[in-house]
Amino acid sequence: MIELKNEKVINLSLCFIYACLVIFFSAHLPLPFISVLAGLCLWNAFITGKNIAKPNAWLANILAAGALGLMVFTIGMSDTVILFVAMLLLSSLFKLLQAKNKKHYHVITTLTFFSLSSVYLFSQTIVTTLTVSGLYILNFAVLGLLESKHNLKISAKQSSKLLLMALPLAIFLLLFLPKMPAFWQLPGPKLAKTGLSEQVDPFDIAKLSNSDELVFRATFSKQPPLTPYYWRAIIHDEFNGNAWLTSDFLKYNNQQSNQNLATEQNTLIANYSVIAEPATQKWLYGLTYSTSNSKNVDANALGLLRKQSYQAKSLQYNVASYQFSVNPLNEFEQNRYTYLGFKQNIKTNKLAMQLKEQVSNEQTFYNALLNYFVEQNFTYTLTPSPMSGNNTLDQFLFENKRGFCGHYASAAAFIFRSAGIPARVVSGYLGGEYNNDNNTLTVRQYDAHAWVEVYLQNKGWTIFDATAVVAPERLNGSLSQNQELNEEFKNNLDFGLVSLSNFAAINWLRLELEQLDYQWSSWVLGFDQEKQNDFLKSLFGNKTSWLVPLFVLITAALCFAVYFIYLNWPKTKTAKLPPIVKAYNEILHWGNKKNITSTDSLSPSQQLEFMAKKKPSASKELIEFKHLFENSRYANKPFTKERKTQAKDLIKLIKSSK
Amino acid sequence: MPAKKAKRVSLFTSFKRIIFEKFLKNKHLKNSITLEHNTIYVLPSSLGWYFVIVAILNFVMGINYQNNLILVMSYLMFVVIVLAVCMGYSNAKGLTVTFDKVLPSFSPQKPILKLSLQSNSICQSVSITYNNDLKAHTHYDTISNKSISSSLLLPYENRGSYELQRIKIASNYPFGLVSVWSYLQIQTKTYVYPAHEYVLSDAHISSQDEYAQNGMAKKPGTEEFENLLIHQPEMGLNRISWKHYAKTKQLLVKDFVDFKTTNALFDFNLMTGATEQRLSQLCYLVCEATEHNTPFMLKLPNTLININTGQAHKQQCLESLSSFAGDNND
Repeated sequence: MIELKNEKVINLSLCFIYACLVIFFSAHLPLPFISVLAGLCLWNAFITGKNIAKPNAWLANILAAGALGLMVFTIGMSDTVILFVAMLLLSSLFKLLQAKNKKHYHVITTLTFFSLSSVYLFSQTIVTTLTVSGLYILNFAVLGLLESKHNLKISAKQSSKLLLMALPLAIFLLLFLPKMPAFWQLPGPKLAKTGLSEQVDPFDIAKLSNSDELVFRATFSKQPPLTPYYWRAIIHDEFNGNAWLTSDFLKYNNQQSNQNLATEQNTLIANYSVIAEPATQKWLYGLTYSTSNSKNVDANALGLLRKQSYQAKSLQYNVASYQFSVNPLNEFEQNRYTYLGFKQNIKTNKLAMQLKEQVSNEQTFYNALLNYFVEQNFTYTLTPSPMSGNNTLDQFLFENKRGFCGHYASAAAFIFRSAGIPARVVSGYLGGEYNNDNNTLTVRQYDAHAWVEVYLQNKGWTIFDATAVVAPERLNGSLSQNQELNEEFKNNLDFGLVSLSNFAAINWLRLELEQLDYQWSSWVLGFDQEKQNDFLKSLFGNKTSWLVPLFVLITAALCFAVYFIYLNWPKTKTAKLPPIVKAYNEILHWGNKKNITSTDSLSPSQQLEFMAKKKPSASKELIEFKHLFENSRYANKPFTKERKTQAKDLIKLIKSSK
Repeated sequence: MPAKKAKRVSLFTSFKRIIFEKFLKNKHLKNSITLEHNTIYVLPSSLGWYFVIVAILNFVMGINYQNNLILVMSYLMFVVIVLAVCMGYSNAKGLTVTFDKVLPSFSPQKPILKLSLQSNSICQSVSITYNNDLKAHTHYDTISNKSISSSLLLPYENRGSYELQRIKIASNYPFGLVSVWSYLQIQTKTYVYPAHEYVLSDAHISSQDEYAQNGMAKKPGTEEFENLLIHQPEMGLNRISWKHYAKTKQLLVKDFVDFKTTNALFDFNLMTGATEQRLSQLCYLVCEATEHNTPFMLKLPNTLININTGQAHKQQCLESLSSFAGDNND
């Protein structure tokens, strides 16, 4: 087999790439497995760095079998995508540990191209893209190193040159090659991150950890509607004694919304488009009663939006939001939204009855309950005291009186139902950070919220949000812009730019980065079939079907042909002149202009002497330059920096002489 | 299973050979080749095919997950492989490989093939392989317009005469993704001479030599002891055999002869041992005789090389020894 020339550099570079991948995937893989991968990386780097013999095949195979077992045990078989990534990383690292010849390294580097792409399944932010691109260049450099004796720097330079050359063409192909629909449905990676969950169970939470992760962005086509924005995602219609759940009935009996009906009867509130970040859950976000005409989005009769199929990328969709219908509920619905299976919270039930006795109709009950929360000095907190038992609502309402949105929503919905008023808990997001520059609202995980929708006669579903009276600041804008809760909020936040938003410069930087991120997700990540069709139509009109492939083929062929011709163009070698000769040529040029050069073919020294005679005013400098020239050209004296400046000065003096 | 595999390989190689013989041979039957559009072959290397497969996998993944970044990666890989084909071709173009000579060897040494390489533009990462044999392989990182002399050990150790097989000039530049190659088919033979086997010279000097009555023509010399003569005063004292003088008190003078003047006949049938052994002995004798400038005649079962001396004669004899096929006389 052909010998490897710089195996150490190759091995360490690959090891570095995999170390980066391991760090990236540490957020997605279980800790024991990640530590095995990190250990393999370190071991490999250690034995390569110290030139220790590689472990023999038996040992490596036994270890690999052990690691494989650990992998299956810790990850499980349910999430195939992460299992596949884990297998890829594990096998590449073991191969790297044992790699001896060129062929082994070839296999690893080609596999690495695949491992690097798999990062994009989990994250597509600008930072990830830049990092992966860097690693991609490094991987190419390793390929180059395998073939030649160069050092890593030259090889990296060559590979980035090649990739930079190829990139415009690749982008061109992305823009113009007709986008195909997915060949088959693939399981998506399970991303465990959202502030929402299928059940609202606030009582065992001691501290609400806030994440400033982006959830979605909404861009209003015209003037944005009035605040507050309640972004609905999930409806919880069943109470199990502690938590509010989404009943199976709602999950599976979701008839499609009758869009025409909604459009005809109700008034339009707003038109907007939303870019939702990748998430495993199917739910999407909309204001009040939402409908959508986007392809991948379903709207149901509750006015909620759902993804049609799982997609591991950000999804952009258009929404039209209407006011809720005032049609009365039918008997079935009436029963369902007032049903309470568990009635252990006796005190709360009693409170509901008391309030009901005091008021005449549903609207006044609604107001009375709001008043109750204000009068009883309830406070809003992100660090409530955990409660347990089967009367958690009683404990909250009559003992603690401190809580966050989940507590208030749970309690209020229970009270409404106890009083026989149809109610449901809705979770979603409240508010968002509005950016005036691009009419865009940015909603993050810390904007997660829960509230109650009550059915009031003649008004339809109405939002009841006790948080609104307990902490009214929470209604307008995002938590990050909220002065009073700011301190508590920031203490809860993982370290990030938002937690530093007190400093004007950092806040400005944060907003700029957000803007960039917005452009990135709407133009790069969100460039889908629909956008491509619009884009192509704007270029080619309606003849796209045959014109586009032709255009792509011709352009690609042309690019390759031009590059090929460029490569094979006979190169005229212009030997680099030594700097002193260049300086001499400059003087000669000046002499020619002044007509003081000899037409005879003279050596440079003779020519300079001739000029010195003809031009006595500059003769001293010319002679000095002659000495300099002779010294550096014939006496083998190095042309140092001092000599260079001397030559420059002399030329200046010669030229300025009269 | 292994048998099946072996068969498939041989089928493939024989197919390749047929292709080569039908379409390529005449183009490459030269002593010098300059790589040009009609003599360069370009295809992705095995690494290149892996690379394409990974690009396709990335493409499928990008389409299925509707992920633009993965799609760009995949397109990038496709574009890179096409660019690599262009680069590989123009890298190899203009490379000239010229056959200088081939130096025969004595078994078990290997003959050496001398080539000179030169390129009018810089050509990177060139490897030369003889007859697809990984052991007969040299690699050059760069070849410029200064001619480089390259020597290649041919993979022949056993005595014999060998037709030179085709030489593959290949480059995996850039990144090993493509292989650009061409052939050079030199039409000449090389020899691996028999190994030397020491044998006593005078035992094989043939009595059938017609030019010498007593079996050998002698000439006064210094190398080989012939007999003792009675001392004459003009003979000096340095050749007196003092041993005899001590025994017999008689002055005797040692007489020496040189084989330089002896005509020798080296006969295959007079050697001992197996065929290869005999050839090795003859080889030694031929070399010795040439060294001492002794005219000799070589007799093999099928061939007779007439008496002569000098390097050309030696080479002729060695070549016929190398290409000796077996004694068909008996």
